[in-house]
Amino acid sequence: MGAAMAAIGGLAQLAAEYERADEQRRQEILDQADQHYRAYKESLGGLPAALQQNDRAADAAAAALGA
Amino acid sequence: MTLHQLLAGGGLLAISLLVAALPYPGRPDSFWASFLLVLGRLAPLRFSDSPGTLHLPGTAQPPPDPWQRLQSQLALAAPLAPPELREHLLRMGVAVAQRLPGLVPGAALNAMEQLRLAAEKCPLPGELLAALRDIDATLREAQALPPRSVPWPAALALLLVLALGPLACVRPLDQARQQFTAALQVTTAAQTRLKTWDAQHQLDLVSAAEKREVAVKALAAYRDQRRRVEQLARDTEAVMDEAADQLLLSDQPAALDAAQRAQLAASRFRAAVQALMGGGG
Repeated sequence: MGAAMAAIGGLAQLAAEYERADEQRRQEILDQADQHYRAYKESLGGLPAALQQNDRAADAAAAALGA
Repeated sequence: MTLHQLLAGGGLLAISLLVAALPYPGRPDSFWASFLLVLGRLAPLRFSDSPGTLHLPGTAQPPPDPWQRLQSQLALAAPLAPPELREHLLRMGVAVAQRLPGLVPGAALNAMEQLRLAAEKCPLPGELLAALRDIDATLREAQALPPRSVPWPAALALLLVLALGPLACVRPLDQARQQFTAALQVTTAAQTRLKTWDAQHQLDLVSAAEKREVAVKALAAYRDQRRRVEQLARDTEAVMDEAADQLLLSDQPAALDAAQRAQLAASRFRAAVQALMGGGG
């Protein structure tokens, strides 16, 4: 019976370790998604300003051309 | 003794009787053999000459070697792992088999180390990684055991592998989050490429025009085309925001569809950027 109890205890411990590892992995996946979402929003937020800056540079170059 | 302990003990005794009644497997590497061997490891009623098995009259089973058992279980676990790692798992199984004459299972530990290194290079499900860590620990413990003794914690660890093996795949919600992450990466990369390429391309248009009026027309035509991509970027943002609400803030099953929509939107945006760059305005 003692061996049986030890077996159950060992299995429970392994299961608990598995649960911890699983939870950690799931959190990593969630954090990664969140991190890339923030990066995406930041990049998107800068897109209009970047394109406008490109436009201004091209307009200035065009203005410098002869008629 | 509580009711739960009594039930657990009764269950384990029932396992003993079940193992005693079941026929000995013909092939040691079959699934049936692996299942039975692990089941036998859980059986508390044993004979000292053949630990792990219960001998009753009429069920004279040859005592299976524990290391042979470990090898079989590893071979069984191998298909659960990604193809890149199967060779290492099988190699470890062979190393474990070489433990039979009483050698120190250093080779098995080396194989486990190779397995760990290989796992760093390819995405291994977390469940399987955790189970492999348990096997690793058991192998290290086995070093301290006298030859031919029964490393039955190994059987527990392997049982865990077998139990978790079918689940050793990424859950749908996690898979959806990873899909969403990939979609975000694609979209962000496309935006970055667009910003850089747009600056140079407009200057190239001006250089090619040589005259101011021609340059202004070329720029206007190009910006008309680009406007469609800018609109698509805004549409994509709406899809991404919705997916973020579903995938990052909740665990709803509807999130799976949101991830697919995000991936579709990302592909569409990337294609639009590529078309703009390929068309050259």
